[in-house]
Amino acid sequence: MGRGGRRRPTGRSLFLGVLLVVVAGYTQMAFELEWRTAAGRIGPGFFPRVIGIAALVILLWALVTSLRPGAVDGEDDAGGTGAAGDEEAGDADLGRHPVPLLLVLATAVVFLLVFFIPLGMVVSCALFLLVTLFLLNRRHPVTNVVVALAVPLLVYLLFQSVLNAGLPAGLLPRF
Amino acid sequence: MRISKLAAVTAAVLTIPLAACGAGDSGSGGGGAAAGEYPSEPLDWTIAFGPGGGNDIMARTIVDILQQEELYPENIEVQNREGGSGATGWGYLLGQAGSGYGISTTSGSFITTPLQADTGWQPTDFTPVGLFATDDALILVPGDSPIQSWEDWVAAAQADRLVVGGIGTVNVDFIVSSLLAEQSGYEVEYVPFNEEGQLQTSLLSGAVDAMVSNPGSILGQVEAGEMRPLITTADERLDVLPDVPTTEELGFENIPSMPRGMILPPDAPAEAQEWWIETMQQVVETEQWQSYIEDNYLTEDLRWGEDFRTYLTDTQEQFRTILEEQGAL
Amino acid sequence: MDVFNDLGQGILALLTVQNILLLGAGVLMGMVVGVMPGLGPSAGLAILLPITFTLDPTGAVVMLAAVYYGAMYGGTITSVLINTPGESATVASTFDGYPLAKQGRAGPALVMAAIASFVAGTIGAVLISVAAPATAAVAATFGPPELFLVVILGLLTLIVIVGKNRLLGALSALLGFGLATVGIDIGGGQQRYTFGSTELINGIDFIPVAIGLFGVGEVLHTLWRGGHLERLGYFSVSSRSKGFWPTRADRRESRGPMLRGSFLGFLVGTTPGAGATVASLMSYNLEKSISKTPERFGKGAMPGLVGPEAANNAASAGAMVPLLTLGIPGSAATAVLIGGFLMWGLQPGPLLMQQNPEFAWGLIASMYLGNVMLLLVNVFCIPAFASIARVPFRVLAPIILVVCVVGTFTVNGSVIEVGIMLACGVLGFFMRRYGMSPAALVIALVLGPLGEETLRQTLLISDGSWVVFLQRPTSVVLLAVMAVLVAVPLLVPHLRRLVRARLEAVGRQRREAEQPEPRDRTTV
Repeated sequence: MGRGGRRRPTGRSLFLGVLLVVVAGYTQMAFELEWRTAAGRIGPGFFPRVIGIAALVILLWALVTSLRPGAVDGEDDAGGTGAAGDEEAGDADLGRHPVPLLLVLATAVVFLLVFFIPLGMVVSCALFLLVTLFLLNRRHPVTNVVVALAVPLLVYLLFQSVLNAGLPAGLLPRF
Repeated sequence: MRISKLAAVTAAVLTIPLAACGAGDSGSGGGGAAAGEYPSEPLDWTIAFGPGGGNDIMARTIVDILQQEELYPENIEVQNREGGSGATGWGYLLGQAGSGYGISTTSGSFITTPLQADTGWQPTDFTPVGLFATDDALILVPGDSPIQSWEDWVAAAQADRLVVGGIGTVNVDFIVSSLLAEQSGYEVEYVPFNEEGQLQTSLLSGAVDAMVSNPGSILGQVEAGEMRPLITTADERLDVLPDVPTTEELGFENIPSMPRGMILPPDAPAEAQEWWIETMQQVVETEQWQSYIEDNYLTEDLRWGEDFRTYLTDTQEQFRTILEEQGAL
Repeated sequence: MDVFNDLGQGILALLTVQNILLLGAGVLMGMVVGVMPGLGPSAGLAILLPITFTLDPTGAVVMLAAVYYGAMYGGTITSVLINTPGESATVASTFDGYPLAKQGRAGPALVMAAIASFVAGTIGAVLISVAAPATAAVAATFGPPELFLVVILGLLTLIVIVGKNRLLGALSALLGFGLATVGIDIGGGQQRYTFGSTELINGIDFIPVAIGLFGVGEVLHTLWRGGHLERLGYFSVSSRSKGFWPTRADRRESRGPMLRGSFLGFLVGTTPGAGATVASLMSYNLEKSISKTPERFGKGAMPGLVGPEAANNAASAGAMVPLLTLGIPGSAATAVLIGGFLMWGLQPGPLLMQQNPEFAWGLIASMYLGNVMLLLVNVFCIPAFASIARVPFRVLAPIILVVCVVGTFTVNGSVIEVGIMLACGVLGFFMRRYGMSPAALVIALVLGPLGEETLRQTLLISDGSWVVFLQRPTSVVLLAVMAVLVAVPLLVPHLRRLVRARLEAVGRQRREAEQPEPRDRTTV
């Protein structure tokens, strides 16, 4: 992907672009805060403006560099070919896997964020584990079921029943 | 800054904080109970700050007394719901509107937090049980300072630019410092700190000339001669500091202290409010409560029910006026 | 000596069956709490503090000391195994701890970290016993100007950890500083970037951000790289994953960092504020600057783990100095302890040690015992913890995500913080992928607010004049230390080259082959 800059708007450029928009908004708001207080001291807007402008400058420069032909996209894309270091030389290059990444993330958002309170910690975590384990570890269904049930229960027992840490019970009664 | 927060934040051990959930559960429960005898359900006790702070210690002392004297027949579930200078915990209590089984204790932030942020509640929204005590402020200088008395301090402050440290800006410490300065006719630079430890070392290191603090957190330093108190906002001289004059003696007016009281959710059933007023009147008579007041150097100030609400309204108005005058709001 | 007499008495007085059971239970509970991402020593103390109100003060303090050490070590375990620091003080432990685990050396890393904790804890306790009054005098000279300089000392580490890509490293730090400005501005009470939300009044908490950037970010990145297709365990990528115990080379190269980290940590820990965090970062900085092989740092160099570990443990002992001798809480955990003191009916203050000697010495003695107990428990526990390194990533990944979510939620009971955590996971993934430094962001987020607050306090106090930094003796000393710290990394390679040239000139030495060409790399 993006090696040798064949695709001009690389992932890197897009990421930097998103950051640029966020930082621009931040800087814009910084200018609504006072630079100096009435007494002439550093005001609440002093550091936000300094931070915002410095970040904007660096981001613009990095963005322009990343749009140049020949720019490297991901740090590790080069790493896979041995150009950027030997730390991960032992890792086999297994390609890029955006699909499992997105699926796991989406499952996490659904079960661990949206339904965390309504379903309760045990049920939502068990469902999350079931879905993701069957996605990643299809060949061991028994292990998957055992892990998906045991891990949430253990964590709940330890943190809720013993330490009273306040995990949501949701569908199940408190125990 | 981050440290104090980390302490407090990690300290918070919460159950479901979503006000909505709490409202659903206990709202219906409270409604049902309103018809029957009042304490017939477990009590959901909110502490709006982390363990170890002044508010936490008072709440746990009261719970302890309630249990030892067997005043509350059901289970009491105590939870620290910490965050947003009390906004989270009291917001949770707001969500229990109509119930008589949510309860919380108050402190200075109960008045000041709604002044500086859109919390969605005002102190007067809640059903008042009572004010029990006030945590008085002291103005202190380092033990080796040439300033020996309040008069010395005023003279020094009129001659030089002096610096006073205290906790927070929209807070009792700042108000006390500004009122004293205004009424004595001097000007000081007030430096806000986030935590007591940094404030105390700043005074000891000579970075600030004086600080505002409470007897409970500072008495050890006074006994050791590291710090010298000049004045207290208490109504009467403190037993432990008989030589320190009060603001009233010296002719100051309307100097506030931090209120320590108790509230129920908004629109709590009348019998719940009555039950708690009666019960707390018993609690404040107990030996354990008296020794709590003594050990923490609080000043007893009892105001029940509507008197407490009036007190809250008046104090908040006063705070708002002063803070607006000082340009802090 | 009187001191050792008191201390011996203190230790003897503690050696009852009940106390030893409390110690064991405390260490175990502490470790369990600490292993949860997001829950560190101060959370451990806070969760268990109410339980101790039923004990007598001595029993309570014994248990809390044990919880404290247990939770500290628990945080190290997650830093090393799943790259997730539970507290800002263990961020530095991920720099080399996690690479070590990835090379299949989780066992040696955990054992050396435990030994470093033990050594530093013991040195710290000895230093409290003999040097508390002297160090307390120093701690009492710390006002806002000094604290600001200490924060800057911690921030100097940024230069070391961003490594090759300075520009993106600086950008990462700026993002952290930016996040740090969210919340009520302490200077004037004005709200910044809260968008009217009460959740944000107190700012963005370090914990969800760190768990997201490090823990979740790493999981997502490994998924992207196809880690779930590996047949072997998460870390068994290389074939080097044999020995469980540290090798002789590990032990030899750890000795210096351990001692330096202990003394440095104790000193920095006595300053009120971000003691342990700054101490661990400074130790990392120091070890990398004086190392003969700085290029190994960030890729699994044992000194890079051992130094910060020792420093953060010794710092926690150092934080007891202002607490016991001045009655001033120097850290999050000691602030919780002060609350405990009041509940136990003790008056914190400079006279605490004189008025309650048996309690004060009991506290110091339980720090010794807590350390010993931790080492004993660890002998049995490390193999169990290290064995998770054998679980394949495709099974481990979902479990790590669950643990990160539950840990984040437990801290504040806030689903919004879970959301922030997951969002930071995505940010962490992209930062890793495009060569930015999550560590720099997190350090900036932790130290930024303290830096801004103390600088603004300083300038309020001095009426806007910067000369104040040169007028106070302690701050002059700190400026000097800073100058040395900046100069050393610049000079050392120079000096080393000179020395080497000399040696080569004198005669061809055997060990000249030990130095591959130094190459910097982004440390994440």
